[in-house]
Amino acid sequence: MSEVALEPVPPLAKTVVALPFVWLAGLAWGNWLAWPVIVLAALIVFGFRQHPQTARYAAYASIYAALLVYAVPPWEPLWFAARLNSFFVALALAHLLGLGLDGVRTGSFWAWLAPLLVFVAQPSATGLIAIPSLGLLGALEARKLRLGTKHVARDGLLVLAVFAALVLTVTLPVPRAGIARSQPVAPINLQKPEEFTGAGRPSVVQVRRQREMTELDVQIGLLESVKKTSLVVNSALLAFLLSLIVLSLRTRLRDPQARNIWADFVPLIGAAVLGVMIFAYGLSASSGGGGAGSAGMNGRSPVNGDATPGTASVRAGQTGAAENPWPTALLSLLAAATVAWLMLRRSRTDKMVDPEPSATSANLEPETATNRVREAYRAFLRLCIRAGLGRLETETPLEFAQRLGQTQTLALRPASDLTALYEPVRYGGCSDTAGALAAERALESLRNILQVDQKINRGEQHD
Amino acid sequence: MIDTFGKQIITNVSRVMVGKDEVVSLALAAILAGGHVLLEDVPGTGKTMLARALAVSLGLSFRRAQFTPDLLPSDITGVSIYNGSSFEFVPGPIFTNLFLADEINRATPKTQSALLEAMAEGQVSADGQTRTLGDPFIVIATQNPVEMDGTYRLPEAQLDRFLVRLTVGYPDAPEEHAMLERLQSRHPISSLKPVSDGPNLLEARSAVRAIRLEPELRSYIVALVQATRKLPEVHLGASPRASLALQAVAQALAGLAGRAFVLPDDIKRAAPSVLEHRLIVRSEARLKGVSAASLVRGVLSSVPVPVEPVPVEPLPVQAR
Repeated sequence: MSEVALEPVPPLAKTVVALPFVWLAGLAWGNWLAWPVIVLAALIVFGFRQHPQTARYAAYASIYAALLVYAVPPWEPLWFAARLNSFFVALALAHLLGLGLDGVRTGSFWAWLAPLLVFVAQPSATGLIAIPSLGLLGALEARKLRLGTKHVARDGLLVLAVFAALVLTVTLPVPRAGIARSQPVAPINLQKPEEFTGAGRPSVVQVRRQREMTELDVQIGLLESVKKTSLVVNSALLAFLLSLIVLSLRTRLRDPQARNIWADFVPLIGAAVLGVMIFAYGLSASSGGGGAGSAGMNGRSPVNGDATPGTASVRAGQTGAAENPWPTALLSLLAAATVAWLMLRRSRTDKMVDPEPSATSANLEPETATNRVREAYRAFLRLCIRAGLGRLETETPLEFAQRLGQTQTLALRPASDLTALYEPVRYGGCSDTAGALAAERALESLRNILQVDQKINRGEQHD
Repeated sequence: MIDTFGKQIITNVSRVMVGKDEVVSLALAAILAGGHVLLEDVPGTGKTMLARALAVSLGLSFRRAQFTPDLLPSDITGVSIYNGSSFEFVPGPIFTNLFLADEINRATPKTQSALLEAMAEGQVSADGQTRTLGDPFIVIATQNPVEMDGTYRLPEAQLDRFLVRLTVGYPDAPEEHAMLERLQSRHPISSLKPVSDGPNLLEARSAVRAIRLEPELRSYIVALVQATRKLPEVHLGASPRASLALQAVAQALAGLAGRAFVLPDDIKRAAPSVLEHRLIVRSEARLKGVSAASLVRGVLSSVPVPVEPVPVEPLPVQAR
């Protein structure tokens, strides 16, 4: 497997991305086969920097291993069917998480779509962990790379707190109430002395009853999963809105100059719709009970393959009705209002820092020149990533230009020129229009050189 | 202004020191940053000559003390002598602008420690009286590697007070050839003339402090220093004084390069000389061949440099 030069992921990000795997490993706990999963999860965390490709495949492997351990052993026909279904669902989940890892590394759109799809496929703890994890990761990454490490911890905690509030609002109240109000299920004691045949072994009747009870409970579980289809759709919409907010927030963090309808209004609309949805969700859960909430809380719904017969968790879904829906609804609205307030506050701060186009041209001109130079440099970095020559995170711009010049001799001069124009803008707060024009010219040269080089490489590969 | 000042000094010193511009630049940056310089290398590599050439070029008053095992603290700071009617304080060689402590690690730790107060606070306390030293006050100390005979290891507290530790190193063959040629008739140090003076240096120092350092680069400095404290091979990591030193030296290097702002390259360039002597490597790691230099290199190659956000949008389609 050939290793390519890739942008390494920050250590915190690696840890956060590894959380879903650790969760999956937790599912398989108690089985000795789970240990390879733990080892592979550790490999992901520690190996991502040096061997991103290998670590990604290790991630796939760890999920497959976890699912195999989780899906196969009981070997009862119905159980097997349920677990096989679970296996295929989670197989897709593994791919999506893999895409998420790739997307996080390259910063592509997939980083955001993947957790959304994960949530749709698995409206339980995996999705609930994956979304805030990757959302937090993206926000941290964007914030860190734009403003340095100073505000990362604070902003990261803020984002995490908001997501945690949302997730807890959706999950906790309903199952809590459901479990509290569910009737205790009498344990099936197959060891009753009067049913013993005397030989100390269960009778044929006993075994049949056990099987009937098992199949019955599995059927109840599957029926529950069908009932939850509408809740899955709700969850998908919910996840979509969450992803939308994160995406918009990230866009705004990346480019505070963005002043379009998407950047300004969608987060607010999203937050409002989210609030309404969670409100309605709380009400419906209080009247209907269970749902993604209980799935998430229990983490062992029929959807994720563990149709454990006769457990309180399945029954909780049936009887899980909140006594009072208002705390859920109020918490939901509070969470949505927090998101909206954060958006508005950020929007106001941006306006204070960056004057609107109505400002005088004298004010606007250097700002524009600064952005143009920085944008040219970003485009240069994108170009290099595409050409497989991405900047290492520990390289300074000058070191990167010199390294690039060693492999791409023709690119040395324009890369050095662009770097020399970029450094005063980035680290010295200087800007001038002539510099912006020169930076764009240098970028154009680099684009021609690197794209030609890419084509030649592709041609060689085809030959 | 700083770059002109720096060029004059470096050009003048290079008449004596052949091919050592990098060491001279770093030493000058440390002086501009208001710090003291420790030159460490094997005998005969030109440490003392570099210190003398810098002192002469800067046009500062210069005193030198040869550190030996029998040197007493009062030999450095000064001593009160009874003159028949009262005690009169006779200042030691430390009362100067540039003090050369030659072979500092041949003196006992007690005598070495006599320099602590002078280096940190620019004053000397003797006979219950505190006396202020000159401004600027610079200590340039030379030492042989601790592995050599008759040397004492400098206390950690004192090592921390040296802003940078520099290694002069052997010249390569062409440089050594040029040195022989230049020194054939007489040593150029005897004809070296000052190209600056004390007030000039003080002015340059205040200009260095005004050099811009982006908050993200400040965070980068903190991250580097904190990373040294987390190394398992290290018994003692770099102190907060190291952060201040790294910031100051990076600013001075930026000024010497003619820039009004610091680049991450300045920080990376300054880091080895600022951090290495502040790390106390564990014995077991040292036995395995781990050195402070390799650890600092490792830290520099693990802490991310603040540049630009990782791009996310696809490249715009180019018009053909």
